[in-house]
Amino acid sequence: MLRRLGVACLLLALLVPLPIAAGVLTESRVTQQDVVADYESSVGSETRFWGRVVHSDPVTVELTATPSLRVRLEGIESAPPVGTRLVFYGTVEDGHVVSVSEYVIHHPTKRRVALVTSALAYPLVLFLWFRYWSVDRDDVAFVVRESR
Amino acid sequence: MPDSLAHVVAAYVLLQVVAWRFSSYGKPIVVAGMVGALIPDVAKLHILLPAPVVETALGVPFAWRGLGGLWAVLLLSALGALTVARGQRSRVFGALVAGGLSHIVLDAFNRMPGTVDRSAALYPLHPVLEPLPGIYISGDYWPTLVILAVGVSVAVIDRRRS
Repeated sequence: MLRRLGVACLLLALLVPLPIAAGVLTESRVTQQDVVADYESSVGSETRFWGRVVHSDPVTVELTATPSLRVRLEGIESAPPVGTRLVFYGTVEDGHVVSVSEYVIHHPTKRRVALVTSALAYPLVLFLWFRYWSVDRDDVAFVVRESR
Repeated sequence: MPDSLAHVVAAYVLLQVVAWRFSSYGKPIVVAGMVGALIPDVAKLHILLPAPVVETALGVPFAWRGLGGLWAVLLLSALGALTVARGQRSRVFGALVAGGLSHIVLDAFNRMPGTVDRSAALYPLHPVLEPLPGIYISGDYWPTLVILAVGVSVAVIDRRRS
């Protein structure tokens, strides 16, 4: 039991650097927040943007962000509908212009349905797990149920 | 992949087909694989605890995304395998990893603008997974419907076999 706890602690310790490394990688890049905070310094950099479209005409979109981001997009065929969630990757250019290389439009209804079906997965798996596994209190471990 | 349910059913399909071939992979191991399919969702903890809050608490850069990749799957699978009885650990570990990997591979087909976030998560599989074409976006219904249909078919075949 003690050995198992020791190994578990070691594995947890090994997990810690992963989100920190991801955080360091993120910090070294220009992010949407950086662009919102200081547009001029971000000119020339490439990054991914996302947000709900609150204003849209054929060339300009305004995304919810903190504060909101209003940019003119180049490379998008048609204006994304207001209310949708736009994710795009592009190069920040002078004059609040982003030249978009890739983009996707997420519809809010579809996202809600996806969230609901996602939420179904957890109780389903929990139910199945305890249907096929039980707790051995002496060994403090899950064991396969006798009937399975 | 649009949702976690599709990931879980995809892992069921994968592990159930393996279970037909190897009799030692019974239903409990298939279910372990379905649990494994949810491991990369640990990265979704940012919904409950945003990264900036953790950054402030720890004083270091932090991104939950780091727990959604291959290395996190391996470590969390090992952690998960420790919770089962000794005789089952290796099979449960394999099933958890298989489930987690199926999640990562299916997500590689997700159309996501910009690949900057994916390389680290996919490492060292990124040379294989990154060039994969994006064929759906999160929120599309059809991948879930296709996987559910395959899952039901596999369940029916499995019932007939047993």
